[in-house]
Amino acid sequence: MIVAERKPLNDIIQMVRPYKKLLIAACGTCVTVCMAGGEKEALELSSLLGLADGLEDKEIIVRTIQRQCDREFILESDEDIRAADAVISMGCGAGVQFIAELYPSKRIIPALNTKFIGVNRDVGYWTEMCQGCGNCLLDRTAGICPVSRCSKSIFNGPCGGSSGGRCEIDPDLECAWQLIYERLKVQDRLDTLTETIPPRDWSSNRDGGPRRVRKSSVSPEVGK
Amino acid sequence: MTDNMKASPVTHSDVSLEYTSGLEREFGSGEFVVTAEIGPPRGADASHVEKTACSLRGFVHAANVTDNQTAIVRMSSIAAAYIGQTCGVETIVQMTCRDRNRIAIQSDLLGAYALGLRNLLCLSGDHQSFGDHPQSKNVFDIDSIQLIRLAADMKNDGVFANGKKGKNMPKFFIGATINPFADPEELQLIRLRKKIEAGARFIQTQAVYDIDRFEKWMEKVRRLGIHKEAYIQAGILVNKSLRSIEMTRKVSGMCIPDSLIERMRKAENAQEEGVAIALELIGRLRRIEGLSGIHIMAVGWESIVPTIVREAGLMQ
Amino acid sequence: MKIVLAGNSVRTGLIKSFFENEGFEVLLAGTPKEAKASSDGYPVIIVGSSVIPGFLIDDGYAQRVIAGLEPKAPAVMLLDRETETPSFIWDLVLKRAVGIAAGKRHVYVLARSVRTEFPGLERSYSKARAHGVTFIKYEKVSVVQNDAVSAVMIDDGVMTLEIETPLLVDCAYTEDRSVLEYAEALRLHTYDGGLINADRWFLSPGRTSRRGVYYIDAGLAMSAQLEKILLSIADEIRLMAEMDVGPAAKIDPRKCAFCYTCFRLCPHGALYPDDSAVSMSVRHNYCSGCGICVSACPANAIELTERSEASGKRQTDHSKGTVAFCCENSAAIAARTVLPDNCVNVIPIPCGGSIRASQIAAALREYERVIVAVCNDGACKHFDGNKLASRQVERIREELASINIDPQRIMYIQLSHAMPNVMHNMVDNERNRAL
Repeated sequence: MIVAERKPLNDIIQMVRPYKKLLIAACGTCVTVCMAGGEKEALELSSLLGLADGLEDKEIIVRTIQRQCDREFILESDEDIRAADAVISMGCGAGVQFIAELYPSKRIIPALNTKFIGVNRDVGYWTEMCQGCGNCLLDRTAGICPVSRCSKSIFNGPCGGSSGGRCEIDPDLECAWQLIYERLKVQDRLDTLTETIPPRDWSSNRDGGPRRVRKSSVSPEVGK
Repeated sequence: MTDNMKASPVTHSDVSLEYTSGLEREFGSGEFVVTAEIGPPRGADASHVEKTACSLRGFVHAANVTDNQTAIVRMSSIAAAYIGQTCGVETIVQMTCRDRNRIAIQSDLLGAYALGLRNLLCLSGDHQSFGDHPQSKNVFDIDSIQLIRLAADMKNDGVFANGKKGKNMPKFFIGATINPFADPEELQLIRLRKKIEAGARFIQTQAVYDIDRFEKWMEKVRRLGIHKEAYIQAGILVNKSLRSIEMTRKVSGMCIPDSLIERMRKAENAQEEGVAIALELIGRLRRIEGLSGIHIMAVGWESIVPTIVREAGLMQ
Repeated sequence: MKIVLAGNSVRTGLIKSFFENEGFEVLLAGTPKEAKASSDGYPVIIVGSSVIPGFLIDDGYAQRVIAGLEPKAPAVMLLDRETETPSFIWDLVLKRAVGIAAGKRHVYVLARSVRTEFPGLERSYSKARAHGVTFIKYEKVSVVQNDAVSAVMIDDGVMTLEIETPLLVDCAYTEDRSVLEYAEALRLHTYDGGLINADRWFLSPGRTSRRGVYYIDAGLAMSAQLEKILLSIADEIRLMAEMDVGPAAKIDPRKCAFCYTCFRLCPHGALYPDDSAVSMSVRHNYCSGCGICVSACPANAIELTERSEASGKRQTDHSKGTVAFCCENSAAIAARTVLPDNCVNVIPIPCGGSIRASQIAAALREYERVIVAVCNDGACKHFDGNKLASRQVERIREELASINIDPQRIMYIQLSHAMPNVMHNMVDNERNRAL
């Protein structure tokens, strides 16, 4: 799922200063699960903003939007959004933008920094797994992605900086190629490593421009 | 030194497309090859490069010119390599994958060759978080093995990375690096072979301090016949102080026996001890079967290279 | 009434008969997987079978051995040779040591370290010492056997000592590792190689960290302890069945994001994924209303219902000043003895772990100071509730510091119900500050 983290309080405070009536819009899906922008975090933000210097006169309400990436859910809070001077969205970058699109004259403020697509390793701990490169080659690398999990996105790794199974830039980071090697060994597929993977076609990644996916069987002919 | 290496300056107009790598010729002749390094300056002063190159002339067969090493911005390695070559020292252009996409890389290779540069060392490159611009985007469009292949395809098939033929394509003498002490060893040997298969013809190793261990590694290399497919140079780092050798140890993948650290600690004159250690290591390395040369890294102390070469009895 | 007996001990039959005689219907679960499946709704008794030296638990056998010894010959009891000795074995060792020493015999108890957590152990040590039992902490020990006499060489790191004895008791205890597999399947807290007791105030053998899940070490079968434990378990099971306890934690399925956080953090295994409701649900038998899930839920989907009546309502109401969130198991009780005439408003909470950062932040808008008062380490009835509270406090302090609000406006203290002085001192400081 999408993993995000709340911005430092001061950054949010700077952005909301000019506005009196604030709506904090929590999101009930990904950011709830990664404990960044769910209802609990929204209530906490509301209390903390109320304590901040110079913000005592603000009127702050909290609403939870089930999912900020589907229009219908946002519209459920239509009245509250219209009534607010500014909306602090605790959704991921997609959610923030979607609300902004539906209410173009309203100031929408992002409360989170969206980080990555990842998995939950333990309570309160998530790690990056996928970068959305658009051209999955996980079968060649024993299910470990070199694009997202190797610091240099090397396809024929590891680099000379891999040591003790750790990445040179951070001893707490495991070298993805070490992991790939170990797993290929377990699967008895080390011969895969002797094949050189040729240069990547990055056009399927964001390098090729912002992407769209359309399910032709159901998507309207022309449309939003 | 062969007669292809003029003692007088070499500019791009002196050099034709047919001019080939002197370094490759030296290796081919069975000479125990000596190379060193020129670290480009953090400014636009060409004279710094000229001074270093001139001091190395006659003492090395060629000199590496580093490419924004440790991700710190320095003069372009191609520009510095050209300047070095105009001083009569054949240079080896180092190119990393960190800062350029394949378009820029190919463009740079064409330019470098046009300037008369003939040797190319392909590297991944230190991650930008180590350097002075950690906020920069990291490119890594291709990795070091793909880079070797790219340069080899230009040489052998005259094609660009997209497979299309070009005109007057560069034919570099291509090299790569390897760390003989990185783990797991099996994986590193697989990579070494991949680099050679991709087109690397000379290999410079990470600095060696533990000769016993290196000898064991060379045994494996010989058994696999790798020393016949590519020329191997052992890296030697010359430390001028205890602090220097301790800092070296911290670099990941380095293997330094405690005895050497102790010697540097107890030495009355650390610089002399550092040189003595280097000479001992060179002495032992020369006797290893399958080793084609050494690469001397005296970072920040390039001036000591002539002394070392002389006292080790190299380049006779 | 149905209960589940899990485990493959040879004593299972014996224990099965006991419960059948008490009128229960006993279902057997021979594997951890079966135990997990059947634990839904029924009380579970895990029967483990550790190997405890007969000399320690068989009184008759011990008497016979002692009687056959030369008068005045010393006895040596050797612990910790291979692995650390758990507290309940220490309990048996000390009782036996006293039994041997009563015959005017010198007893040496050799160990690497001394355990005290078992209830009554401190008293047992004192009693043993009073009877002339000598405790020696050793680093190395070696034994040479010569016919009926053992020569024991002890090295305590400073000097060596040799004792010759006709009675060398090796108190090595081999625990039943299969028990840990059951513990994992039933999500029980374990520590130091043993199953932890649920209610830390009343450390009774047999209980585990989950209500309705019990553990019996059949290795104790030959001691009188076992029957006592079985009877108390049978009584408790009957009592629980008669109690009509509504759920203390309630989950709103519309808000639940099914993130599993509450499931993982619940110390009592009271939460389970309910496919039909497509959200997490609460097993009311096991829920103790600690509120840790309430605090943990990122969707704010859980609330505590009226079972914990005391929680949330202010005990006293003085204007402004200080508010204290007090754990009802320790601080709230301590507060009652000191606070009626003080300027601190007390809000009892079911457990330190139930406190939420937003509660603290909200309290700071009304009060100058917020106190979070929880149980001491090792005393939390819900295991780590006090630590969760500490981390919440740390986090909110960081947030406050980042917006230039004094983080010390939140105070964090740990105390027990029997330490009202800690509360008193804290409150006095508050009063002086307010003046």
